[in-house]
Amino acid sequence: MQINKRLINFIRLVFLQLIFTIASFNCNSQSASKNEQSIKGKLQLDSVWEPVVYLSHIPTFKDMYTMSNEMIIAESKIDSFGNFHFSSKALPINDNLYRIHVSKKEAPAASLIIGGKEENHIFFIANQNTQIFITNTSSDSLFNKHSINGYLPNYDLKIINDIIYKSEHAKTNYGALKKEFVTKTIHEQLRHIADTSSHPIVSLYALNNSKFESTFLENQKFYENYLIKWEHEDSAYFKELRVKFPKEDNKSIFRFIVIGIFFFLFGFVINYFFGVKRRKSNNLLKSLSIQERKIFSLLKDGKSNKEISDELNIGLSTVKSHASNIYAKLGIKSRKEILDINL
Amino acid sequence: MKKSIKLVTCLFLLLSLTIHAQQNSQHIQQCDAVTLNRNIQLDGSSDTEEIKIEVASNAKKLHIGINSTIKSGYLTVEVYDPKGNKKGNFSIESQVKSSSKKKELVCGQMQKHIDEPIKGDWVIKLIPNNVAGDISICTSMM
Repeated sequence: MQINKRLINFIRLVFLQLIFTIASFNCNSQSASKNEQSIKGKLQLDSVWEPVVYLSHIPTFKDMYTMSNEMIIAESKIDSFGNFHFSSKALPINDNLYRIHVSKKEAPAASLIIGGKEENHIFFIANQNTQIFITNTSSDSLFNKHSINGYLPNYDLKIINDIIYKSEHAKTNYGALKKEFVTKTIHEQLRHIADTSSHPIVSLYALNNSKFESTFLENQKFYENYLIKWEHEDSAYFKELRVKFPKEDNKSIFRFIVIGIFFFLFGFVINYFFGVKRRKSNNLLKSLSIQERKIFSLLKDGKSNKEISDELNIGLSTVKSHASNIYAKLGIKSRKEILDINL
Repeated sequence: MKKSIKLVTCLFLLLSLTIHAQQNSQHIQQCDAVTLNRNIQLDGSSDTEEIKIEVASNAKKLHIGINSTIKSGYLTVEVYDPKGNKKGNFSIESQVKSSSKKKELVCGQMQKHIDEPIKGDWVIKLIPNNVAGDISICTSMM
């Protein structure tokens, strides 16, 4: 009887120990899964979709709507309850933009559907230490109604997406002028988010959707300040932005200055050269007598010997003699060369 | 009794006529849609192609559906409104060379519904770079 009691006690003890071990194991695994940083989710899909979720890295905003197999960095099967899971350990430390998508059963894995009910992708921001949970609310609309929980910048991203969606879909009944006004207001709203957001990718995402290229001249000061604000950001997203902004080309200004100096010097040299020539002619003219200078000026006016002799009341032979003296002193051979002398 | 039979008959006739008229108007509305389908096959092409869609001033809705599947190359598809504003774009890339025996399909689709579209020529620009694949474009206007 006593042996039986002991045996029962022993079994009780073993049973309790077993329960305790199982409980502690569960607790450990739960806390381990809590600590594990991951991108998880639960999706409701209808039968046209392959139950696989693909994760792609989006290196620049330009690539948001680019699809290739090289962009896909991981895939996760969706279990019968709709759950999927990616470990975020392999992601970069800094925040980056990512896309998850699903493909139709007959379609290749690298399939991108933009617009409509079958839009098959969503974007989100993540890094190595983020824990994100993605869900959709209906299998009909796939990602049209979805939520991304666990990392704050994605809430702001959703706000921006909602603004963009409203701007595209809520103006059916507006006239052209009202449409333009609404679009302008929405772009201003996006620029305000870009200005006030403290997250670089969120801020840049808002700016990219505000059509900033078309309003650069209107808001030049804003963009200059924006670039100063994020001058320490050296991610590919910001490098892409800086290329888009028209910046002052110091090289071309320097080139203009060099060309200017060259022409100034060229003008100076030309002026000097002709100045020397002119000074030379002036010096030669000084070697002429008063009478010869009078005859020289009349010859320069294109007058004939007869006209000069009539005008100066001197004989024709005297004119000829002065003219030959002038030729000799100036080192010229004809009247034509007198006309070419610049004074 | 007779009166009530007459009344019921009149009401039935009126109701059936109304339904018939509604169905007819729906049918007419459906027939008003102008659709255009184009299928383009690219065999290592790098020539940019522009497809124009003329939208009349009375058009209330424009739908553009583009479906492309490529085996090799890089394809960019852009949609522009008559003012030259980009209304959508996507790019797909398959890095397998067209001469390779391997196959790697990449698919890109875009659906655009535009209410009260701007009158004029809407442009779908296809910019292929050594692309082998198929593109189908479906547009409809109402």
